[in-house]
Amino acid sequence: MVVSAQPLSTAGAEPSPVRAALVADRVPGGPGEAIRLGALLTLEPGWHVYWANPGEAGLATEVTLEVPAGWEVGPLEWPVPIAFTQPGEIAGYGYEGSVLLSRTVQAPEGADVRARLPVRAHASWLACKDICVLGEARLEGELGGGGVTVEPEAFARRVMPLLQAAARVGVSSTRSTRPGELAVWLQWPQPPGEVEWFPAPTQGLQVEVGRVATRASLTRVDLSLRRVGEAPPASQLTAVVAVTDRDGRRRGYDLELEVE
Amino acid sequence: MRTTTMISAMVLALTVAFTTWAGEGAAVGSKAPAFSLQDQDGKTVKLEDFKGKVVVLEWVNPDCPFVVRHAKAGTMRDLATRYADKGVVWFGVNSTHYMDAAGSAKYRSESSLPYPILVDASGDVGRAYGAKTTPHMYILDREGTVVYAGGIDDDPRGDKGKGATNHVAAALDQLLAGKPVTVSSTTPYGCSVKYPK
Repeated sequence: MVVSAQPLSTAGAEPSPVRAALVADRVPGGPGEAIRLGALLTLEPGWHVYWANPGEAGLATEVTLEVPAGWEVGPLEWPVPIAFTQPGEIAGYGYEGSVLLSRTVQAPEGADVRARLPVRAHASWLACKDICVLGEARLEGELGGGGVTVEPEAFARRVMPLLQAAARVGVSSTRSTRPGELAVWLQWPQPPGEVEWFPAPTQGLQVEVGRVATRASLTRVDLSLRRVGEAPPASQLTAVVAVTDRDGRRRGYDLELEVE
Repeated sequence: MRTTTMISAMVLALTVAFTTWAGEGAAVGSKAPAFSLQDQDGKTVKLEDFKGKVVVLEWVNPDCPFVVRHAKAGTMRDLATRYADKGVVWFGVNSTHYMDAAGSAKYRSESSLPYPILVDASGDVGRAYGAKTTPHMYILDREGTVVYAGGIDDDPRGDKGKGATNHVAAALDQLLAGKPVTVSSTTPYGCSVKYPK
């Protein structure tokens, strides 16, 4: 049960296209144990919200948590996004339907996890369809007190292993003679199926994905890197690589790549 | 060895297949695309008539919450007013496909903007510049070269208050002082420009 959810929209009296609920994968069983807690956003058909890198427009969705003193809160854990093209060929990365954005929280040693533990989440988003609206929800409940929806299955597919290790993929890159262009090569142990590349936010660089082409067991990803802002550009590119196999199963992997 | 040869062959095949892609619009350092558009009152505005002036182009959409936030805060109005005294010409460009001159006029009036809003409902000028977001900002120097492209500031969420850096003000200050623009490209933020589908 969600104790309180107040989506606020800047679009005036129109109902928000996004509903938010506070969810956990389970209640903590003992001190020092980690659980995952977050906001499940459910979108009206046709609307989307944005990934950590929203693409060429948009705004990253944010979920922050307030937990009892002494508890540790981890970074935001993003599910594998989808790519969409907005009118004008503007690339976007985000989510449709529903998305669970969570963090790992850990009770300190000695904490009485059997007590009712008040928790709060603040979710904020830009939701777009034909127009865009900003929205937010302040959610509160009690862990172990029945105030938070426990949905382990909603968290089940959230593990995102490193591509090189998990899928035994060889990764290399080659610079183009054109400045700022880079080709990344993924050598798979077998033909992978459909491959998608989602560039993570990168300090000092705007990374745009050109084409992703797979022939047999080799995938070429064309990236365009452009210096932006004041910060020195990162020496490491990070991305999420999504692979959809012949059976339609889609998996996401983290990828880290050193660049000059 | 054989595997290496196979990979090399595939690399070559893919390299040949994909040599170039996607132009960048009005990239920094390039000549700004010419345009002739009507403003909210039907007056024709040609970019070529402003040779010798520093020109700021601001992509707007009155329905976009980021544009509304800056309109309420007076971000663009205050900047345009401050730099008008220094000879800088400022235009809003509205590439929202469903909005006509009356929509732009209403927004301009309600936001007390001192500069014209150019109506680009076809999206042709927006596409020529590669405008992606509202707002998306471009600064053209006196020769008509793009010297800044990107966001108005470094505060997409609007929660930095006075701690935000206004990239356009910084670039204009450098340009007017005859200095090179040090931060000439930033990632713009906001709603996607609502081009025709």
